[in-house]
Amino acid sequence: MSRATDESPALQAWPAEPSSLTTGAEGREPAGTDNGGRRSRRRRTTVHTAKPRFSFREYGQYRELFINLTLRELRSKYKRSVIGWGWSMINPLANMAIYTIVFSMLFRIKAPLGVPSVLNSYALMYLCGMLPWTMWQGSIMESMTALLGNQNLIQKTYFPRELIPGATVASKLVSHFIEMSLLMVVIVAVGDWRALVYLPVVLVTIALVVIAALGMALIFSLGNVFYRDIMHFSNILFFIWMFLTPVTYPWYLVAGGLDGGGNFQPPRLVHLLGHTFSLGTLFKLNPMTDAVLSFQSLIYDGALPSSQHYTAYYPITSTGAQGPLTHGYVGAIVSWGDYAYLAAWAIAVFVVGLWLFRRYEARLPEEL
Amino acid sequence: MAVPVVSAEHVSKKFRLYHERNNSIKAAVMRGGRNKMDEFWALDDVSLEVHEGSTTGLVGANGSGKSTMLKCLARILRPDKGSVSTVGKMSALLELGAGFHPELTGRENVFLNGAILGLKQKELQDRFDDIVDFAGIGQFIDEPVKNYSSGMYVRLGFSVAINVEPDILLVDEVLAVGDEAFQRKCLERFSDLKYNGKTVIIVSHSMQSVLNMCDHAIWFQRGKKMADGDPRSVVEAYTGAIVLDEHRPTEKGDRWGSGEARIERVELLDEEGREVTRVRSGEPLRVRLSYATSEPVARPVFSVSVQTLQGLVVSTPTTREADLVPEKLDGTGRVELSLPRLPLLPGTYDLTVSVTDFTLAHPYDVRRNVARFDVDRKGQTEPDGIVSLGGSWGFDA
Ligand SMILES: Nc1ncnc2c1ncn2[C@@H]1O[C@H](COP(=O)(O)OP(=O)(O)OP(=O)(O)O)[C@@H](O)[C@H]1O
Ligand SMILES: [Mg+2]
Repeated sequence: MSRATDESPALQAWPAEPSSLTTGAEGREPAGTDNGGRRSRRRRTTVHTAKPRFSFREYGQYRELFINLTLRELRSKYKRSVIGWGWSMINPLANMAIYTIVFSMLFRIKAPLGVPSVLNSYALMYLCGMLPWTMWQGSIMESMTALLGNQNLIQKTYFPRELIPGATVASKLVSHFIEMSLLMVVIVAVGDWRALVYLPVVLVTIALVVIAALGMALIFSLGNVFYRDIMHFSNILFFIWMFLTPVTYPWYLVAGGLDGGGNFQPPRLVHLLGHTFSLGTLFKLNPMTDAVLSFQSLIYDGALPSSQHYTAYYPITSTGAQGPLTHGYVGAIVSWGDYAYLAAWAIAVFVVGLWLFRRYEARLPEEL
Repeated sequence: MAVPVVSAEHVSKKFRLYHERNNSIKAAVMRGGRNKMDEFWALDDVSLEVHEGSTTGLVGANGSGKSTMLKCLARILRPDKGSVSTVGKMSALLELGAGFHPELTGRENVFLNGAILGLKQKELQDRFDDIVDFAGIGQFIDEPVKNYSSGMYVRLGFSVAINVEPDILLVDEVLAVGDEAFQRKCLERFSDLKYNGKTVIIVSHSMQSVLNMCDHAIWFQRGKKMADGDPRSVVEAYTGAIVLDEHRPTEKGDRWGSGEARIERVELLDEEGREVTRVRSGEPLRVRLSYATSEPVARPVFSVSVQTLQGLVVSTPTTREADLVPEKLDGTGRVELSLPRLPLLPGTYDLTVSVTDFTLAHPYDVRRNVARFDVDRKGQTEPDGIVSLGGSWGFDA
């Protein structure tokens, strides 16, 4: 039935091979001397099979593309808007103002006392947690849109598809750096220089959040192509998640500690299945709690997160006077164990995300 | 033996066909976690090799898997079985335009695509003018590509694809969108590429361009490779198969119309009135149509259309130009078109006959490719072409 001919007579009639091709049967990267005298180019043999790619070598040749995609994300965001990049500053500041009014003025939640920075500002505490949170949430949410929005590229050209969520995360990271730098300037101006000393730890913590965000972005953007509900569901998920993370309220309300008025708040306890837990322990199951607390501790308090466990301190009374030496929990508490938990989680999310993405990315051109 | 630069080994590709496609978790849960779907093999165990410096044409009916094959070669689709290996830089211009982002300007897209093909910013800058020149879209380069016409879109896409100096170029059927001038430029570029030892794989439905450009052709049918080799024989096998397909005595498909008047029989007759399927160039031929009506029809027009196997219409004489339109036609009868000297050059031709109303807009009965005949050479004939213009030569010294 089939008239297929693997070896057609015409094969022999083809023009003689130009000399450039010297590949052996399993030869890789034969040297090419084509282009009529241009510099010789190495030519790669690419093999494409049913199995997923698991090599990292090809990333090298796509560096340029990655930069291009990232810049595009950054530029396209505020295209055709008058204020343009101003929005990236206005948004967090507006959020800050709203939360400060609602939480600090209406609900009269006292800001935590920064030890040793002696900062006492709800707005600054909020920014320390909110900026990383915005990067985290924005990376994941926008990756989903980006993967859908680049349908045409994915269906017509080949490149490692994870570059698209990757570029979105990178663009968020760039904005995050700008915002964080401004926050640092403010903190150093009104508060404590120690935040600068701990800058390397801040950077490591940012790196952990970014790694986790990348993993989540890979999972969510891929999943969203198959089930578009994920995007809608994520709006709710991140809203709830944010309130389960001490971004908008101080940590002492959960785990106890010193409030800005110099009063020691007791830890909250919860009774669950016949056991009693401290609410702080439950909150710590959420690794983003550790991340946010680390930022608050490093930037707002001006202290290493782990040093905040149990400290002797001079409480500041409501009149601003210094009280007698007291012992107690202060500040945002992240033990080294918590920090390791955060790191392990971030790496696990990233590995799982990359693995899932590579496992299913081949179906993207068909499913989009 | 030459080493292939593109080789596909036992490549199979399946698509999932979702009935009532619904990308939502609710739908998935209601189906019990599984999508109700059929599998469909768009490519079924296809192996092929393309050698350096060749121009290969992929031919086949719509939906036969040509574009799917090209996407597997371009690494856009991953085969479910088998493997594809390629040597050197590949650039592809797939069906329905290039991989452009509609919101970006032409310029931004050029840089984006260049980066995808692995060019450095600097190298692209050097080539940018060439790319814009070749595309010939002028100041539109700074417009978002969503505002481009489809021809401009393809022009820019093609211009990028060839100006990045690929070793292998894949082109899917898109050039037909370009205007005459652009198509000509493209053909020149293809021959440049060939001259420089580059490899080109094109998908085309124009058998003429496959024959003109390619030195190798592959015919796909329903996801299988049917023939592979010299373009002339592959194209003949393919077009022959179409003709065979269409000559099966099916009443449906090749016949349509409202049916008040019907053409019951079509005969090709030679001088002596014998029925023939083979005639000689320049000899007499008569086409006789037998009709029957189910109710009286006013002012019917009969026509006979002669086509080449590639679908080119050579001529469509009708009874209207002959001023032979009866006011009313009823019952049965015959109409005859008589050609005293058949001007067709040797080859195979198809006849499509029809009876319509006077405006030609309403068909009573159309029978497509109802008869096929071969024209043989008679004495000296012209080497190339479809019809003989007749005429005579003379020197004027
Ligand atoms: N993403 C997809 N999902 C499901 N089926 C698909 C998909 N892409 C292609 N197909 C099916 O695969 C078959 C082969 O399609 P393909 O585009 O390769 O045909 P083709 O030979 O290029 O046809 P044409 O001449 O019309 O361009 C078709 O039946 C098509 O419906
Ligand atoms: Mg196609």
